[in-house]
Amino acid sequence: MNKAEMDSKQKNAFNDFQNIPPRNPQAAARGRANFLKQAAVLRQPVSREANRRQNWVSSTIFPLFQRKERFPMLNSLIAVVLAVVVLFGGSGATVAAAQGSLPDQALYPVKTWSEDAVLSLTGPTQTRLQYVLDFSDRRVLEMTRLLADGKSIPAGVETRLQNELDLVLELAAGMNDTQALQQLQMIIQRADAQYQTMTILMSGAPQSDGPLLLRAHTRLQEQLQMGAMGESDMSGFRLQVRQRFQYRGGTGGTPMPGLGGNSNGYGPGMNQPTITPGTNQPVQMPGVNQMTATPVLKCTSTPMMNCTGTPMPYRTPGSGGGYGHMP
Amino acid sequence: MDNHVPSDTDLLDLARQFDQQALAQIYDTYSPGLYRYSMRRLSDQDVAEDCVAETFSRFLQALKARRGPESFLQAFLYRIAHNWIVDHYRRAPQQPQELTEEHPDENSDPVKDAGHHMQQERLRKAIRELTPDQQQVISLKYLEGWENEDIARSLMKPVGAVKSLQHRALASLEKMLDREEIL
Repeated sequence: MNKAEMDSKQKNAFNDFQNIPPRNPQAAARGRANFLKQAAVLRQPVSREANRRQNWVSSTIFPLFQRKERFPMLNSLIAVVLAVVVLFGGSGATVAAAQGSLPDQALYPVKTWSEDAVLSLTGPTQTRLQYVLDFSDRRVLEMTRLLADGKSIPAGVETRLQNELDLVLELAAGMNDTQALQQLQMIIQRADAQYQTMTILMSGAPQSDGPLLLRAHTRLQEQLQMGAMGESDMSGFRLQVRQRFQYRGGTGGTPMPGLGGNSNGYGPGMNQPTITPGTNQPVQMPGVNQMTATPVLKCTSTPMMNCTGTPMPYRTPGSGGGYGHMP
Repeated sequence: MDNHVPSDTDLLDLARQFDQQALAQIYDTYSPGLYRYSMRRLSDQDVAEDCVAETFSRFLQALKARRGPESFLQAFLYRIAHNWIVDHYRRAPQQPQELTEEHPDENSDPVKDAGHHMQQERLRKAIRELTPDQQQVISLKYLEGWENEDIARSLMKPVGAVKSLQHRALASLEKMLDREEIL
């Protein structure tokens, strides 16, 4: 049987579906009226704040120079770093000094280590998400400063940015609907600014950094799409995030330290409450067995997963300033 | 007389300002197709109407959050509808349909109709067993007659991935239906 015959056979199999009863005109008119009524309710004057958000300059140029505004959580971070300074004296001073370092500098591993440490010590999911958002801004700023200095961007910076972008989605997906929506707005806002910055960087970057910047650019675009999806369809968003999470868990992608949702880490992974699809209600998953809460996903269709129902280890605490690796 | 038909982009520009005329045009353009799509997937008129209503409601919410589509509105709307249908089946396992005394058409053959209905239900059930992405590919390709490029936009995946999903979905369907007469 040739391809055309096969295609025709498959189409014939679905032919019966073409005959459906006509739509009830009254129901259609009612649906239309409700839709327009809802639109009228939602229609509100555009606020000055919203106008400002849409301003291209304010979302691209300002983030590069208004660092204080862009990293609202850094006050807390500085407090933690200062606490380390008090506790450990000279070592703490090194940590504090490392906060402004760039990836090509000797203190940079200390900076990333301190970020990992801060996340490990932070309990509330919302706070951790805020930290990771700030850290992702740091990565973009590092790329900007490196290029401004005429230096090449190490691949590790982009990898770390990708992991941070993944992580904020995972953290948001583990929250209840109200919290998740609030956080998604913030995620989108940050990703939007980062995306615009990346667009600028791509236009003036040397050819050797092109592929790396393109990857980051594409990933940020995806982040915006995921955020938009979450705002319009929270269940679908959670499912997508979970699929990404499970896929990466089995492939040994680039893990971050302490992201396993355990005492070390971030991520809705193992011990965070998750949402039963379709119910929009957070439920505590028993132990580490999160897969069973996703009826659509099956072991047979996801070969990367452990088919006993136990997710494969996802992230492990890394050593030094880098991210850990799958066992 | 101006016969200019506004493009998706023009309509969306107006829709973002909650222009009633543009929104009405969007509803009139896409709701009949969305209804047919929902009916084919759900086989229940009331539930299909719910699906259409929720799809457009979510569309408005996306506009409100300034995160609606820039273009390819149809792909965006069908993606929402598909997600709603997947959620619907997860929320509520299918209830058996009630039998009624009345028959819609005097000339029709009840035995033949029942056969068709059973075949449809069997195929519909098999489609529901596929992964969400596979379901959407099969529905848009074979029930709605979309091209792979349009399906790719709806799924936000490359065309190659769509072809791969289609291939795997058909193989799974064939297996589920025991290689009998349907496929």
